[in-house]
Amino acid sequence: MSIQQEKIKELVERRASARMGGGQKRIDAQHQKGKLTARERLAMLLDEGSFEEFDMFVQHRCTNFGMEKTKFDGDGVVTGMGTIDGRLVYVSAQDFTVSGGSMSETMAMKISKVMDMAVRNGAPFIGINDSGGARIQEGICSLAGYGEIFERNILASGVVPQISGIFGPCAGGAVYSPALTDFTVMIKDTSYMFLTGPGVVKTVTGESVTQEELGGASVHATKSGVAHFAADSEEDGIRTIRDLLSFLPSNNREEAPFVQTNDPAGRVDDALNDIIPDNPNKAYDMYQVIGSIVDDGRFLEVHKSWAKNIIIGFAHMNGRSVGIVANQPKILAGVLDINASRKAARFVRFCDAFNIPLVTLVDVPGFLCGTQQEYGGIITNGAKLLYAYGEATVPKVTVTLRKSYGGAHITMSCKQLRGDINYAWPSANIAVMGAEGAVEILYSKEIKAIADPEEQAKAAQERKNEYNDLFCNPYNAASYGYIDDVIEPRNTRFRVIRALEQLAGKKQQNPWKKHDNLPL
Amino acid sequence: MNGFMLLQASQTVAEKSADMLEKDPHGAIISLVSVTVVFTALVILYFAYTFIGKISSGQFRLPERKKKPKTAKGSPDAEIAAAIAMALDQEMNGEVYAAIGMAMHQYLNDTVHDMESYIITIRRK
Repeated sequence: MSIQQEKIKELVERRASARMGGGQKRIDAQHQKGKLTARERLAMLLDEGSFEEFDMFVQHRCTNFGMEKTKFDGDGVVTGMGTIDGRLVYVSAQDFTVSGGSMSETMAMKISKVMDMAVRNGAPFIGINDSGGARIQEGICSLAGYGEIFERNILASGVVPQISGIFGPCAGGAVYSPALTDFTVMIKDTSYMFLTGPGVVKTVTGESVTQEELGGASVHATKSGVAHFAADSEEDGIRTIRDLLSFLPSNNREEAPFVQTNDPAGRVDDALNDIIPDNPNKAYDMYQVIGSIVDDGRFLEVHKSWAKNIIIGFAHMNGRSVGIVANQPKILAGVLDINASRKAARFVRFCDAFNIPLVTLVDVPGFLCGTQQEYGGIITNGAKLLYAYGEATVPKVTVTLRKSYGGAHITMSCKQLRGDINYAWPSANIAVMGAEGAVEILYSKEIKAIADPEEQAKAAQERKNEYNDLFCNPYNAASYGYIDDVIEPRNTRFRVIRALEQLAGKKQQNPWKKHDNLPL
Repeated sequence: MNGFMLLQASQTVAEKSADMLEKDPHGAIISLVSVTVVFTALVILYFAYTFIGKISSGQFRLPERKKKPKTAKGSPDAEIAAAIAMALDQEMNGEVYAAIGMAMHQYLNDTVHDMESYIITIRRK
């Protein structure tokens, strides 16, 4: 064997050794927990044969506590580039088989490198987390590593899409990297995120909770809103990431990929003409409307189980990627509360940052009232959504289906917040408030002055009818030009698509500023 | 008991089969009978479904019988009723009937629609 062949043999052997991570025993242990290894996850995530690994031979530099004796090629993270549906992405996957995936200075360096490459080359970054937290033996160097990653998360925000997969533990300061990214996918039963674990919680607050109760996927997907998607398995989680990317552009200067569709733009759905119940207090399912107007009824919902009174997600319309924001009359009558406002605001800002047009379907009776909401800051949180719509410069098409009252009307992409095309169904009521409340305020004294209860009810009804005739229709708003057109419900898909095609060339810029000061 | 009856029945069938084999060794008669039965059934079904189809699509109407104006025989108001009927007939001419018919058709068939072109003419960049 020549010297060159010997050297090539060494390379092959070192690669094989690095690919084994922390060794077969730890790989088996990972499998026994129902989890895949970092490399297995990347193999599933990326197009076959597309992965190129970087920094495979990087080793940690720590010599404290005998760490110099335990070194692994590649350390506790696998990084590199690959493609998803032929589009370039940069990836990192923490390897739990190497020191529990704990974050070392060199691991952070590897992750930072691919993040820099993602920003430089305008490609999405996907980070899969499965780590016990900071590598305690490295002390401040480990924390510095986290800091380097967080800073890159911040700088990449709004430049390239960033997606976090939580496929195992993610605790302590480590949770802030996913929190800074655009989307977080968690796996039910095998992943959890919290600042401090159940042990510390018990010591500090005396509260007894399990890991799942404290920071499991179901908790973060339904209660805190930290997780955007809760997947049933790692395979499901990876499929979700791939699906999600199909709706997103690679960076903030590109448009989302066009997806060929056989669903005709002029498809009408007669069922929409009958979807609004005659009784204004009766609910209907907004998912039916969304499913009816988007291409092939395909809708990728974000935050499916959190703040369900508002629906957000991605779909295609005539092949173009759109962000859908819709009030859900079936939950809390579609009212805007703190969580719904936060949920929609972040989504609107994401779509605006990545050139994804917004389609807003409005049926909102107002903001939720009460001490709980006021003490929780509904004013500031509601303002987030208002702000997000107001600053957004992407095409904004709004369809008012039924109620659109008061401040919530303004918030939900009204004309004055630079809504580009605002349509209304004939069933729309665009007013300061509903007839009931308005009559109570306007004619309270007059009605109470009537002694006979029957006459009183009759007078109240007359006033309500008068109010309804005047304001509870789309034509009053349309008479001022605040609604561009009143459309037949069954034509909604066609009209929205035509509006989006019309707005495809839209260019709008906000005044120069260092950055905005949105009400956080 | 049941087993016995079954045995008897099969003997009867066997006998009949042997008889048939004797009378129609090549199966020509049984084939002809089978084909006739099937085609007769198909023809009956064709007429039955055609008839049902016409009824459900409203194409089938019973032949109109000439209705004699109902007048109460011997009633003193018969002439007045006939006069009113004639006046109504004159007033409600064909156009009125057509308008009412159209409105009813649109209402019942839900054909009141805000028609669009359903064509996107904007060229994609």
